[in-house]
Amino acid sequence: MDTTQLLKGVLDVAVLAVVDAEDGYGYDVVRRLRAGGLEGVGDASVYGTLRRLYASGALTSYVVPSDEGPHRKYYGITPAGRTLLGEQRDAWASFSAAVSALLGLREPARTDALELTQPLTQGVTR
Amino acid sequence: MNDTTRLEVRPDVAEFLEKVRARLSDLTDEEREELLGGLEADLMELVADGGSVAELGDPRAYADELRTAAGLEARTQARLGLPGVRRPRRSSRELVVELLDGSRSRWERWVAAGPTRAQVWGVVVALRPAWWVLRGWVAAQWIDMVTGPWEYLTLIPRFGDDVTGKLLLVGAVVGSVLLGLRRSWPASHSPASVLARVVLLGLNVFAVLALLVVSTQFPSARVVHDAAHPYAMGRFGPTGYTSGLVNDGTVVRNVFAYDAEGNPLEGVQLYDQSGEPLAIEPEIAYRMRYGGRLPTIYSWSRGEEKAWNVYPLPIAYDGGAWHRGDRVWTRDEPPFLPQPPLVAVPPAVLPLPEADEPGAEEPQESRPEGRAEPGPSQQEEPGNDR
Repeated sequence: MDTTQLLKGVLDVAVLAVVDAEDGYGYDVVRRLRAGGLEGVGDASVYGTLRRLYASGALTSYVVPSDEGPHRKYYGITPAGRTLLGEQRDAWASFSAAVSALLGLREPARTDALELTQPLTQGVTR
Repeated sequence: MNDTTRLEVRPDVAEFLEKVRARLSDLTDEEREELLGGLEADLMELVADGGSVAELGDPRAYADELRTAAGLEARTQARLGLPGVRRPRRSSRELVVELLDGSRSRWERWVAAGPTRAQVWGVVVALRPAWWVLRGWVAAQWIDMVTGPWEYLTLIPRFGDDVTGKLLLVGAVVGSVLLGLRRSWPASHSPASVLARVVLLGLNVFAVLALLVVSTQFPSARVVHDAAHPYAMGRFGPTGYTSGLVNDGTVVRNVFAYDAEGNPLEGVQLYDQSGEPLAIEPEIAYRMRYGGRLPTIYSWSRGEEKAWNVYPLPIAYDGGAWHRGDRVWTRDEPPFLPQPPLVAVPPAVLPLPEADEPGAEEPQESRPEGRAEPGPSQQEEPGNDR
């Protein structure tokens, strides 16, 4: 299965979660994502996602001067980003539960499957 | 540490960055620096981590991935443009498309969110053909309103003759329905050209507004209005508005009298068989158009009263002092009597049995004295002309 497509859908929430755990700069976030099991994540995708989340107000950023080389740009989560993370976390929980059930990996959870569409769409618009 | 270490930015990193930067040349400086900020440090760390720039692949693909992930529009035509000429990030056309598509999908999502909404919307969608017919009718009425003299609306627009109005109405309705069926106009959905969609949207909005305007001109609207405002003029016959002078269904705005010899007369006072003044209704008649100019209609005076039954009524192009109280003879540019539509009319005679010669030689004799004297001579002051 081509996981890059799957990755696209969850990169936002994954990046938010990583930054929520601890502020980080671009390459640091890439490294933590990979350490977390998302080996296939592309550097540029992560950097772009960080920029976009910053532009949308979910992340804040600050520059840390470095003695050894170029300045590092750190990202931290904002209250809006934390809200977004919460919503996307819920959406992911019901989505993954539903897909797992469909794939027979778990006992069917009917309510989860029925409620699938709502958190997913609302998570974006809210 | 110091500048020496700064210079240790590896040439391959610097070269890679330069290629990425070049690939983003179509962005604004702000966007590009926002995108590239901190990237140097990240790349340096990657290398320090034991990686190499080579494993990042093609810098152009890297740049594309970066901008896509950042939510910026993919580079498309920039390479076709002249170097140095920066394409605006989003053209207005794309913004319009996004606005239209976005509104549509937001609306559809909203409708889909509630079962009642969905049902109601289903009914509305089913009624679309009715709207197509209605807007065709509105278009015909609108054309009628802006081209011809003012008149109250009839279901079928009158264009002076019977045929033109009907043809126009049929044409407008057929055109509107074809428009609705997307036979004569590209679809309102996304693949259609932006211009086509905007024009169609504009036409529909215009039709709604025109409907509001047109509906106020319909006699039934006046019935409601007059019922609420008893002081407003108003009597209605089965064919429409009949207050004031009406000739064959058309409002009379002025009267030009000629004597039996065919010469135009000025200052003719008209009364009907009961001695009631034959007065035009100024509130209606002032809305006539003379070649696009709106004259104000004034009246003759009978003492303090305004005599709306003395013809021809004077007019003035004074910018339309549409207040009835203003219509007095005291303006700097006084009103004038308009030219009669016909310079002279053929003489007329009474068909008397003893008239051997039916020519125009003796029209005065052929007129009985009783006719020359207007009946209501005792009604010098017809208190109210309405």
